[in-house]
Amino acid sequence: MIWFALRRVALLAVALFVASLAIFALLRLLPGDLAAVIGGVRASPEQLERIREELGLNRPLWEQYFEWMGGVLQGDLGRSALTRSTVTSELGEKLTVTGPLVLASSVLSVAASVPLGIYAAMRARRTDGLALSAVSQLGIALPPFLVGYVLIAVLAGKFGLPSQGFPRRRWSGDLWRSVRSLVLPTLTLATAQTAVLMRFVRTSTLEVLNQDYIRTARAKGLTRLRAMFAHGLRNASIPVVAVLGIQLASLLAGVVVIETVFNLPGVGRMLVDDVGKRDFDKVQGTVLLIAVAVLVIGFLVDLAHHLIDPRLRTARR
Amino acid sequence: MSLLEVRGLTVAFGDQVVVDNVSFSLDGGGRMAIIGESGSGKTLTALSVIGLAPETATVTGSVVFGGEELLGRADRALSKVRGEDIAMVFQNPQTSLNPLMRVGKQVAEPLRRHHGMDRRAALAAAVELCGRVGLPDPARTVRAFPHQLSGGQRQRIGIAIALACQPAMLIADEPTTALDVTVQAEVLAVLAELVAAGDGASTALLFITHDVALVPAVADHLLVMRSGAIVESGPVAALVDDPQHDYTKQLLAAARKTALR
Amino acid sequence: MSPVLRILRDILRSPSGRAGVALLAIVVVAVVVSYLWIPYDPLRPVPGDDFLGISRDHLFGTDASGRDLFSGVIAGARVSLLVGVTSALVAGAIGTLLGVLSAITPRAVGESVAYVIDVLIALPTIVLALVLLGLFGGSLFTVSLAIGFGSGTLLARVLRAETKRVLSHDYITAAAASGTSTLRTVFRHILPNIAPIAIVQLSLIAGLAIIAEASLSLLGLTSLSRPSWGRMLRELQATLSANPGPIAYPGGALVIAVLGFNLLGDGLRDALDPRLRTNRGALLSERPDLVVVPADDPIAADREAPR
Repeated sequence: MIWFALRRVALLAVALFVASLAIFALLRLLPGDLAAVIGGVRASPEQLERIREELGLNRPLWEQYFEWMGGVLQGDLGRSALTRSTVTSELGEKLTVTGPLVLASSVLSVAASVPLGIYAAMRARRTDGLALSAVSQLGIALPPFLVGYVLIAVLAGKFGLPSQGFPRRRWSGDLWRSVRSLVLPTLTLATAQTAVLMRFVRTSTLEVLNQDYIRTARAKGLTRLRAMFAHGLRNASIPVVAVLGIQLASLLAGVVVIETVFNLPGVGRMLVDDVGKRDFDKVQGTVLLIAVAVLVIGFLVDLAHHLIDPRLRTARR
Repeated sequence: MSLLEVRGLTVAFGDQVVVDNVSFSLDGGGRMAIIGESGSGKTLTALSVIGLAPETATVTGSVVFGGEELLGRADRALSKVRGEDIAMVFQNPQTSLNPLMRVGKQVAEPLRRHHGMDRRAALAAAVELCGRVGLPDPARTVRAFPHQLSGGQRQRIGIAIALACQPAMLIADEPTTALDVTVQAEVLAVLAELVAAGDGASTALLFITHDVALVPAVADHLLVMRSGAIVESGPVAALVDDPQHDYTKQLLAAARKTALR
Repeated sequence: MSPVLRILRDILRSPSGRAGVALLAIVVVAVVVSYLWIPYDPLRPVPGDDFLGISRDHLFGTDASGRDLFSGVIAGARVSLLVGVTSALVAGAIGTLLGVLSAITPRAVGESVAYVIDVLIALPTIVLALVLLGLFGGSLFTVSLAIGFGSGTLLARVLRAETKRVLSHDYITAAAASGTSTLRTVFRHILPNIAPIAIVQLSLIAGLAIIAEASLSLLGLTSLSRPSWGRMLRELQATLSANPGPIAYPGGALVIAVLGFNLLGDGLRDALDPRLRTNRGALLSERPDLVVVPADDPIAADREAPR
C-alpha cells in the first residue's frame, strides 16, 4: 500500500512537471515575441527591451524555464510586470474569495445531486423520474451565467443579498456581508454542477441496480431500498468520486465566468483582468497554480478510489 | 398439500410472451429439475416465483407457497419470504457477489436480516456454513473478497448464502454452468448433500439446467420446457427411459451423443 | 436506403432526436434569415431608443443603448453556429488523432501520450481559451481552435479507450494475421467502429463550444466588431436589476442552441447504436467506465479485454 502511494506521488510529480512545461511553452514559445505582446503595439523599442530584460527573454529558453521553476518551488510565482506586486501575495488575497466559493458550491452540489440522482434512478421509469431527467437535461444546457442572471433578477435585494461585489474589508472586517455576497454565486455554481452530477449519479446508480449482486441481495431478503444502500452505494460511489475530480476543472471554468458576473475579487476575475492587461508573467503563475490544483485534487481522488475499491488494492504489484 | 403450487404462470414483455401458462407443483422435500435450452423461459419462471422478474415484465397466474399466494404481493412482504423460506443460487459466480464486500459478511447477511443475529454471531455462523460447503480454512476465507476466490469457491459461497436460514425450498438456476468441468461435479455434490441433510425436513429443490446429464443426480421429477411452455413432465426415471414428446427425445438423444461415457 | 438517410430517419424516430433537430432548425433558420434581412445594425447604438418594448419595429425590443435585440439575436446565431461546428470539427480531428494513435502505438509510446493527455485535461478549457485569446486576439479562428483543442483532449481519452476495445476483438487479430497493414486496419476497422461514439460526443461538444464562446464574449475577450449572444449579455448585465427582461432573448437563444445540440446527441446515440443506450453513449462526464483510468488499472484492463 505504501509502495502504491509512493508511486502515485512520483507520477504526480511527473505530471506537475509536464504541466509546467506545457504552460511555459504556451506562454513563452507560442507568442513569438512575448515582449511585443505584453508591451502592445505602441511600445517603443526601449520599452520592449526593458520588458525583455525584466522577464529574462534574452536568455536561452531552458535557462528561462529553470529560473521560473526554481522560483516557483521556492514559493515565488513571479512578479507582475506592471504593478510590481508579487503574484503570491495577490493570489493569497484572491483565494480568500475563490476558495470558499469553490468549496461551498462543491459541497452543496454533492449534497444535492446524490439524493436526487439516486431518486431519479430508482424511479427511472415512472413519471417523476423521467421529469427529473428532463429537468437535468435542461440544466446542462443552461450556461452558469444565465442561472446567475436569473438568480440576480429574482433574489438580489431580498434577504440582504447583494447583486454583486464583495465587501472591501473582507471576512475579518465584515463577516456577514462577505457571506451574503457569496450566497448567490454559490447557488449559481452549485445549480450548474448539480445538473451534471445528478445525471451522472443517476446513470451510475442505474448501472449498479442492474448488477447481479443486487439481485442476489434481494434474493436474500433485502428490500429494494436496503439492497441499494447496503450493496449499491459503495459500488456506485466509485465512478462518482472519480468524476468529482474531473468536475473540478469545469467548476474552475465556471468560477472564472461567475466571478465576472458577480464582480467578485477572486482568482478567476484576476486572471481575466490580467489577460486583458497583457500581464502574461502573472498569468503564467496563475495558470500553473490552477493546473497544480486540478492535478493534486485528481491525485487525491485517485487515492480515494483505491481506498474504496479493494480490487485495485490487491491486484497489481 | 404441496409446498409450491404454480398455476398458469405467464410472463410477458409487452406482447411478447416468454413464459406461457406454466403449471407445476413441488412437495416439501421434493426435488424437481426444469430442463430446456436457452430462451425456453426456465430462468424467468424461477425468478417469477420469488418476484424477481424484471420490472418491465408482466407476470400473471398464481404462485402459492405454503398455502399463501405470492404473486402480486408487495416487495416488502416478499422480501420476508426470500432467503428465509425460499432461497436462490444464481448462475454466474463472477457477478453474483458484491465485489466490494467480504464474503463472510455476505453470507452473514440473511441471518442478520431474518433471524436478527448480531454481527459476531452471524459471522460465526457464516464460518460454520463455509465449512459445510467445503471451503478450505473457513475462518480465513470469510475475510476474503470475491475476486480473491475461484469460481467454484464463489459458487460455494452462493450456496452457503442460500442455505444460511435453512429455507424450505431452494431454487438453483444453472449453478454449475459457468464453472470449469472439473469443478462442476464437486459443487453439484455439495448442493445435493446439503439439500438432503437439512435438519428436520430436507429442503425442496428446484433445479434449473440445460444439461440433461446432470438431472438424474439431483432430481426425482423433471419438467421439460420449450419456448416458454411445458412440453412434458413426470418422474425422471420414467421420462429418461421412455420419453413421450419429440422434443424430450431430441434432448436426450443429443445428450447421449455428446456424452463422453 | 443510403446509410446517411437511414441514420437521419432513426434520429427522427427518437423523441430526443426530433426535439434536437427542431431546435437546431430554429437556429439554422435564424442564420439564414440573418443573411437575407437584418432590420438594424446590431452593433450600432441609437441614443434615445433605449429599452423600447416589443413592437413591429423592434420584435424583441432594444437594449440600453438602443440596439435592436432581434437583429442581435439572429446575427449572433451565425457566430454561435459557426463556432459550434468548427470547434466540434477541430475537437474531432485532435481527439481522433491523439486517441487512436495513443491506442495503436507500442505500449511505452501510447501510454506516455495518454498520460500527457490526462495532464493537459487538467487545464480547464476556458482558462486555456482565455490565455490563447489574450495572446492571439479574439478572432473566430482562435476561439474555435482554443475550444476545439480543450474538448479534443477530453475526446481523445474517450476514443483511446474505445479504440482499445475495438482492438481487443478477434477480427482485428484475424486481419493482422492475414497481413493487413496498420493503416488499413485503422481505416477499415477502427474508425468505423469508434465513429458512433465520436459523433455523439461531437454533438455534445458543439453545445459546450457554444457556451464557451458565449462565456468568452461575456468576459469581453472576443472581437467587438462581431455580434454575439455573449456580447449582448455583457451589455445587458450592467442594467440587469432594473431591466431583467431583455436577457431572455440572447439567453433563450443560447439555451435553444445548446439544448438542440445536446438532444441531437441523444438522438444520434439512439440512431447509431441502440447498444449505446446504456452508459456508453452518455455525456463525457457521465461515463463511469472511462473516468480516471490510471495507466496500470487492472480493472480497466480487465474491462477492455473480452470476457
